[in-house]
Amino acid sequence: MTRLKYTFAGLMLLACVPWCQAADRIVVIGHPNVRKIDLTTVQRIFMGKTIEVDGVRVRPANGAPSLVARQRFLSQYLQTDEDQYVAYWTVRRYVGKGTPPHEVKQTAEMIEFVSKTPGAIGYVDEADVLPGMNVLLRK
Amino acid sequence: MKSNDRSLPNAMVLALMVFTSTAAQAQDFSYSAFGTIGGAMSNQDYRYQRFIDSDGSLMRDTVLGAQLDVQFTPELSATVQGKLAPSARNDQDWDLTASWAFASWRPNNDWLLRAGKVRIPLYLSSENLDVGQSYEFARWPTEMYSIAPTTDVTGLYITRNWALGNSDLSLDAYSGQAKVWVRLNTRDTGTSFNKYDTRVSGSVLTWRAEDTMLRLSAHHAVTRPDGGPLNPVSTQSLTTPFGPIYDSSGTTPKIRNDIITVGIDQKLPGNWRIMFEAERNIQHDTDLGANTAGGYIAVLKSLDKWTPYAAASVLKTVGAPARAHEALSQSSVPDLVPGVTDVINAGQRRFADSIPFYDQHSLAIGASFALTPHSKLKAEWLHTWVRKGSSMIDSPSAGPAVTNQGIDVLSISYNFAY
Repeated sequence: MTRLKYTFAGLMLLACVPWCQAADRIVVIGHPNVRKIDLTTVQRIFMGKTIEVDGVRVRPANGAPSLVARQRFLSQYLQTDEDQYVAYWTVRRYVGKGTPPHEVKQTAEMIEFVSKTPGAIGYVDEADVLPGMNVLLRK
Repeated sequence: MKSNDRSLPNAMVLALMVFTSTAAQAQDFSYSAFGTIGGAMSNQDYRYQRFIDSDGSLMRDTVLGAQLDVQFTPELSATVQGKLAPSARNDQDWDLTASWAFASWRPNNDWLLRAGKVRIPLYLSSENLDVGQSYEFARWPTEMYSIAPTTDVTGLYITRNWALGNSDLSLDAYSGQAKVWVRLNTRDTGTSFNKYDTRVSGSVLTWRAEDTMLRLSAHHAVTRPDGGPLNPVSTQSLTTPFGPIYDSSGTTPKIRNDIITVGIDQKLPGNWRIMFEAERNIQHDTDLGANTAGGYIAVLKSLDKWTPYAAASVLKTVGAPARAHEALSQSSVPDLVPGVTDVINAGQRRFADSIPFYDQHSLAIGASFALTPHSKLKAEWLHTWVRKGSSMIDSPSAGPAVTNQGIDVLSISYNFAY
């Protein structure tokens, strides 16, 4: 009986894996006027190096530092962490090369900003992707 | 605190007026603040690097600043950075000045135009020099970071960027002018500050990859006294009843300098990092000006929140100014007639002290500790060896110039940027 319980629990865990991964996965979204982009372009946009894609002026939006999605985005797409990202923008700001991306406090605010701002690029958890959203990149 | 230098606050006021008047149209505002509260103390009674002596001083490293970035349109923005720091005009006051006050136009990924007061990238970390939180050193090696009295110029600045896969290449070209105060300390007359007008232009090539930053730069400066005396050109030997002495010969209305710098910042496996910068400041038009070669090499190791480092640096005056300084340093007449020979020897000392001369090297060992992503504590032990002399030292009056001596400096600072 005990073995059966463990087997059942193990199967449940295995069944959960794809869902858990999906919940952790971050998806890059954009305003309808932004075309699909590759990973390098996403990195350059959020590091302030690229401001224009295919003639469209882009406006990146980042989550506030308290948002879990921000930490996932930094890790999955920029291959960095909060400390390094803050340090990067501290230098970049103080060498006169611009300011960090616009920040939003909640996922709903991110979705609203991206949908209403031409050129906006942001990100959400895979689970928060809504029908009709312009998904630019999914890792 | 005083703010007598009109040009700098005026630039701030003008920029703030522009900001205020167009605030309604601005898309985005961004405020930030930074600062360093730093103390330094040496084992010598005389002053080194303007402020450091055995009494200790907060004035060598302390600076407070704020920056306002305004995005007017997607292409057009403006930046003002003001700072409160020890005055460049005297050793007592604190001045509120504008490091930056410029408008930026970035029409696309490739071009960036800036007009106004901008800091030129003479060194690897020229632009963020005042923001201690953004680097690990308690103080950038003075042997490298003191070759120009200012790097803030008002003019036009053009940048062309090239995206090269995972790296970027940028070429900066600029031209501008600045009012600079040059500090002079002599054993007989004390400290004075002379104002100069400098026109400077140059270009900077920077290559940035994930682990590497490489910078090459060339600058041409033309400096004229702003109301002060003209610069002497060379020395001439005079014969007196007491023996030969030196006097200045000729004057020049302007001095030209060509400055070449090279710098590399390389991250290595195992969280090691090595940095190297070197400069050559070539003096024209006078044998009695700054004509230097210098640089440093530094090794850093990142250990989570700790970053210990060691840096070795050197600065030497070379060529004709070095020869002139050496000749003048040894020039004196026997003290035969009090009141006459005293005056002659004081004149020789003053002449020698007035030549910007450096013959020193340093070793710094220190560490930074990241309290938060926005703040750092730093501590450093610095040992400087002075050989034939250094204009960074205020040699005690009525005594010989400081030569062949070591100076130990302990520094500690709290740095933040928000």
